[in-house]
Amino acid sequence: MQPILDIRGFSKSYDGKVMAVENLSLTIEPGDIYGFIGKNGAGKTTTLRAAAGILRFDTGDMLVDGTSIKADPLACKRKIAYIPDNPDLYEFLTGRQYLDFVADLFEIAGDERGQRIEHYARALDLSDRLHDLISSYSHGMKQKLAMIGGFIHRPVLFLMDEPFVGLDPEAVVRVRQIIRDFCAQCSAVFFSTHVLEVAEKLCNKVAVIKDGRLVAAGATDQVLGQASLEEYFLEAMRDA
Amino acid sequence: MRELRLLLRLQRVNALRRNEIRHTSDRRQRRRLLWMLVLYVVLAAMGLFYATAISWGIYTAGLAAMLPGMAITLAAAATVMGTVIRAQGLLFDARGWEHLAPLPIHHSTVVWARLLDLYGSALGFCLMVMLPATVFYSMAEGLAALPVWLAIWLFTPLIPLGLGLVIAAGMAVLARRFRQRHLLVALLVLPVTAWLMLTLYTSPLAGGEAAMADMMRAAGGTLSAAYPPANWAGQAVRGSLPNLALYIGVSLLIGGLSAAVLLCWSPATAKGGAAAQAHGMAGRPQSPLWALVRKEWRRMLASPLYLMNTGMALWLAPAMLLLLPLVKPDAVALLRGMPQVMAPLMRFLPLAACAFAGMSVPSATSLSMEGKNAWLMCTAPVSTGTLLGAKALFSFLFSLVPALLGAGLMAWHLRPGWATTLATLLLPVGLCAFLSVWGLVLDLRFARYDWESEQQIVKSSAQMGFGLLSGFVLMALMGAALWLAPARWAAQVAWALALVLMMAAAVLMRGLASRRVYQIE
Repeated sequence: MQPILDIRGFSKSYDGKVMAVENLSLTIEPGDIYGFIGKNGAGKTTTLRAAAGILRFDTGDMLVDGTSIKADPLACKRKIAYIPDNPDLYEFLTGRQYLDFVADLFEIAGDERGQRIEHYARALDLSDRLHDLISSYSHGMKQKLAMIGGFIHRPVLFLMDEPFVGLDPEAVVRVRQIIRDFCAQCSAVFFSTHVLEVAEKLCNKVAVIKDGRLVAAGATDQVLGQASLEEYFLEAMRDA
Repeated sequence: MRELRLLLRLQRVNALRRNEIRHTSDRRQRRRLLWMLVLYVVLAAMGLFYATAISWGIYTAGLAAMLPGMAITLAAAATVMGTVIRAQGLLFDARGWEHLAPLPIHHSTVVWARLLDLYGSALGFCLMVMLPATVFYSMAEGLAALPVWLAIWLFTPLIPLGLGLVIAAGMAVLARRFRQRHLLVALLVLPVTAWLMLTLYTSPLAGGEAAMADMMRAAGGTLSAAYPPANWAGQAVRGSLPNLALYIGVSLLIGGLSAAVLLCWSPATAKGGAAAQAHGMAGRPQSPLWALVRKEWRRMLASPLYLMNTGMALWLAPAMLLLLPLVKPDAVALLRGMPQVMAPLMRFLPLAACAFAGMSVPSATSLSMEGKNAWLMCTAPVSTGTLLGAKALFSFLFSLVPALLGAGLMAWHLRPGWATTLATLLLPVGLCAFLSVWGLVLDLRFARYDWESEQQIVKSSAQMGFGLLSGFVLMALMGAALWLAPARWAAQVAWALALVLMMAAAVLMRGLASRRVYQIE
């Protein structure tokens, strides 16, 4: 089966001096819910942004569903969705206008987009606020709206940077369920998080990164063994 | 009282951005702020210079008796405008109140602190106009009225302050009700600016000293009549104590009333349109290009700074030409009767039609305007050609509509031949096309997405400066070409210029489409 995301020897430095990520390789298969764990500044966001086609990188390559992000970024962007850790959305638009804008960019037909927006807005409890300006939204609401915008074109890969920050407990449960349903349809989610408990409950695979180098990657139960993710993570940060 | 003092100190500490200049570790930022400080000082000096020049002119014309009325009316007008602008942020912006609301300070103390701040700046505006007037009046009439002048100085800001607060509060209420409030403000400001410019440009500037004195007398009379308190103050300066009491009493009453209303009505509840509702049908599906163009349009409407800086100048020409028959009905007939003016005017008419379009390049900041939202463009599945094409297309349409309207009105007023009419319509098309693409070239060169306030991009960015400069240089070059061309071929030269500009725009756009934009390092 072709991997949905195939990261091969990815390295990225800033100003040619600071090595943010070094020789990272990772494979994400269809159906994977892949957690990416590491301390602040470990290189998680850099990796996610490079996979989203936002960041140039020095060496290596990333293939999205078989297409190189370096060679054909546009084709890759049609297959992926990305939400940053702090989703700054167009505050001058209403939620619905924003979603229509995203749907127009991905050329989603009218009926289809209406159904998907309705489905995800209801699932994330945002239906009543879709006609308000985004500038009136809380951080969590913006996060939910960015997620709906990501799901609207049915991507094969959803890249999320800290998706659970700012969400209330009920929303966390709902998002977890949406992610599970989404990945059950042979798509994949690759997300960074500091919430180890969520990662442990949700992810079938995890990768741990420290100072730009991959410490461990693979099926969650194999990586962790008998330890909890918290114990494993703290141990890994000490040892590596 | 202690709390009030603390609040006033807090408000004063960063006046003219002094605190930022002192403490920023970024040398470029400090340099920029220092230049802004110099600009403020230069503007204040210019204001004082103009006020002195006007007072001196009135004094030398032997009309010193008119000085109090004129000075007070002008000071009041400046204060109303200053108050309207400052009160929006100080009193009616909820964000400013959110920092103070959790602190153990009474609401009225905050209002008083803000009002005193506004009074301070209003006094500054008033003094700038009234100080030279007092000096020249005293030179003409003696020093006897000086104590009255001093009392008038102190009370003059109160009435315009009250009026300014009423207008600012009205605007805050409008802001709550209308989502496109910036467009509304622009629509209100545009005819006023156009009217002022028309009045200025069509005033008789020649006619000898007697005519000038008559004009000044008439202007002074009009100004004093427009603002009755100025008349009372004028009488007071000439020795009328009842008029002085009336002036002070009304000033205190209006100032006190506006303060009382503000103390009862919490300005924090006048929060801007953040929570404004946008009901209605969802948009129909559109192509990515038009979705991006529509987004550019909405961004323009949502940003007062962007709208006023790029849109206002463009619409001044059609607004002035529409108002011309009302302000000066005989202006066109007068022009037509002056062959020595009409001949060069016909030669440069295509250039005149471009005048305001050349001063405004919306695309020069359109890439950088994405700011923190740039990640959305980075991840959008559309080509660079579509992304930049949408920005260029929006900028082109946004500047072309008023430019063509202005050109059409010029042609309608002056009735040139068909060749000149065609040139007058074609040259703005070429200029708008070229500047729309050229603006993108500049913005790509200086692109900056890490700005904190739109001011940094719309007002103080290199791309905006170079965009304006490009417009001026282009206008000068086209002017030189039309001037050098034989008079009977001037229209054809303008056609050629339009064609060259359109071709240059197409070539530049092809080059831009192959660039990779919106990659954040």
